Amino acid sequence: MSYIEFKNVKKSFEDTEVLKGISLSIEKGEFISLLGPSGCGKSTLLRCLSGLEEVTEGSFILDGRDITKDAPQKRNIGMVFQQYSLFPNMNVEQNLAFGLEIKKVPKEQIKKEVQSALEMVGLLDKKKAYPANLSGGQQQRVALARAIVSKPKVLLLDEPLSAIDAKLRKNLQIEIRRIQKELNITTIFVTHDQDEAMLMSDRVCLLNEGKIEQVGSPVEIYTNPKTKFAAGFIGHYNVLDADEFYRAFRDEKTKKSAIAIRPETIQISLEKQNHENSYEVQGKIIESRSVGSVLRYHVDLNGINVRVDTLFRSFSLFENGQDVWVSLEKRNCLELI
Amino acid sequence: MKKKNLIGNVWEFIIALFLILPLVVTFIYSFAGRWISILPENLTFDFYKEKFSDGQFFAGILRGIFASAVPVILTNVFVLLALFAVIVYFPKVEKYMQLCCIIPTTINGIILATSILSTYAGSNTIFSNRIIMLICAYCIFCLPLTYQGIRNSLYAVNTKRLLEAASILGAGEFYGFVRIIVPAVLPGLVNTALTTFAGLFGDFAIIKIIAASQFETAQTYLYKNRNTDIQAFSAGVVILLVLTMVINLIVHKNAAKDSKRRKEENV
Repeated sequence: MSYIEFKNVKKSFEDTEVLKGISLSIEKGEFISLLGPSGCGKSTLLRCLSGLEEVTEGSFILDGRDITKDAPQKRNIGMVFQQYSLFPNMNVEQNLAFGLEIKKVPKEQIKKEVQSALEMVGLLDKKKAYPANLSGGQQQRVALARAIVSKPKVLLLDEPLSAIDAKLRKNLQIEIRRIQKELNITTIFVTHDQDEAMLMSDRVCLLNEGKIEQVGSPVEIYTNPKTKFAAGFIGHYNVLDADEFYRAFRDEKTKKSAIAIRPETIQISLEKQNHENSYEVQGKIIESRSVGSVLRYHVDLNGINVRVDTLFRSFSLFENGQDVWVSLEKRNCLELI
Repeated sequence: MKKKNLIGNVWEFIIALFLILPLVVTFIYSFAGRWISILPENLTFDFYKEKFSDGQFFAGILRGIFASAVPVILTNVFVLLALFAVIVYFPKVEKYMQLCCIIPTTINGIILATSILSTYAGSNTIFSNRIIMLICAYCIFCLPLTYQGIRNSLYAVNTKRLLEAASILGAGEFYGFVRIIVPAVLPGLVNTALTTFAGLFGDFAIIKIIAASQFETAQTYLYKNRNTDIQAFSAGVVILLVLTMVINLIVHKNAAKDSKRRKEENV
């Protein structure tokens, strides 16, 4: 049996069904991300697991115990919210001690635990500071320390980095992962940022409209998306239905509903390459844009717009309106369900 | 642009002068000794000494404090509890609560006092007691401001989210309310309470209609004796004015501190 199990979890708000039967198993010490667009139900799922929302149907098993009906206070879960939710009337030390005091931990031990948690997040010198006097990044680190100080069975992170600027966000992503590994704490991380999910997680659970689209390791999800949604959401795949694929690459009609092609697996050149097991078709550059170190071309293939990513190199620059040859290895065409 | 500013400043000055002049004259008059020409011949503290040694005046001030503090405390406690319940558990009810709390702003204080008096004076219930009637009238009178102040404070600290964070850490709802929410909203609560207190303490109209005969505050006492010694009356008015000003200054200082804290939080 897995450490955490979601069994057919359903949640409705009045007439709207937000979670449509989620079943998922999470192992002890695993870092899993719930990834999906806004409104897909990822935060609701987290709130249901924490007990802040009641499920309409289904159950949660944590460490062999059914916690579905337990109050949030009884679940032994730590949670970090998007807006930090630090207690403004308490300083950092008091914020961290709050949960331990409720559990009636002896004062000396509280002091030790708080000290060690603050050391872990690198905020020992700020223990007397009030939340109002801390930066966003520091507040989020305090929130993280507060969540882990009482050694919960599972740590829930509800988009904890979304209110933080890009540079600090990168640092905190690394820091959260480091702390998670150090404590070997089972962690569920909610995000809508696929790069963040890919960077931090052992596994990614992709959600869409209240249902799980795909669960797998970041590499697995990136290289082998199973559905149209997964292909579109992860890695900016070109998703072509059978008809479009036939028109673009002049191939026999596939029986699958759609084909996904990663933009970086398509090559463009001025002359035909004659590669084996590849599609080689002519097209016209209709737009080019630089995205950091990547040049993103939009190529018209017989009326079908296909995205192609190449590294920004002087010998691979093409003009808008230029006729080019497009080469695609057949093994890079992923058939979707 | 400059001309417009100049006209604006002149208008502001005229209005300020119009409002402040009676206070300044009262202030000077309360210190004036013999005054038979344009300016007083000498200044004296005699009228203040007289007021400070007037037991009835001080008893009136204490009664005024009592009559203002009790409704402020009651309203704050009930509105805080009700709003907390509404925000956390029954958000849909909030619009009705807002409606109920805002209604008193549409009723003139004198009409409110007269209506309460005519309804309850001969009712032979607990409300026919003039002091209870006065406290209840004051509760209604300070309801809109108290409601708005507490509502803003509860939303500013994100009550629901803080309570959720507390419950995840193991706190029961009541414990979370007492340990987290009340201290977090306390600065706003104190400001609102002091503002309403200053408003009630300065009231003359409602108390005169409802309870002047049985419950003499400093204001009603001064009014009753206004013709016996005008300068002592002025000294009494200045003392009350200073008390109210001190309360307003505290509110202002707290509000400035609160606003600075919020700005820092946003940074």
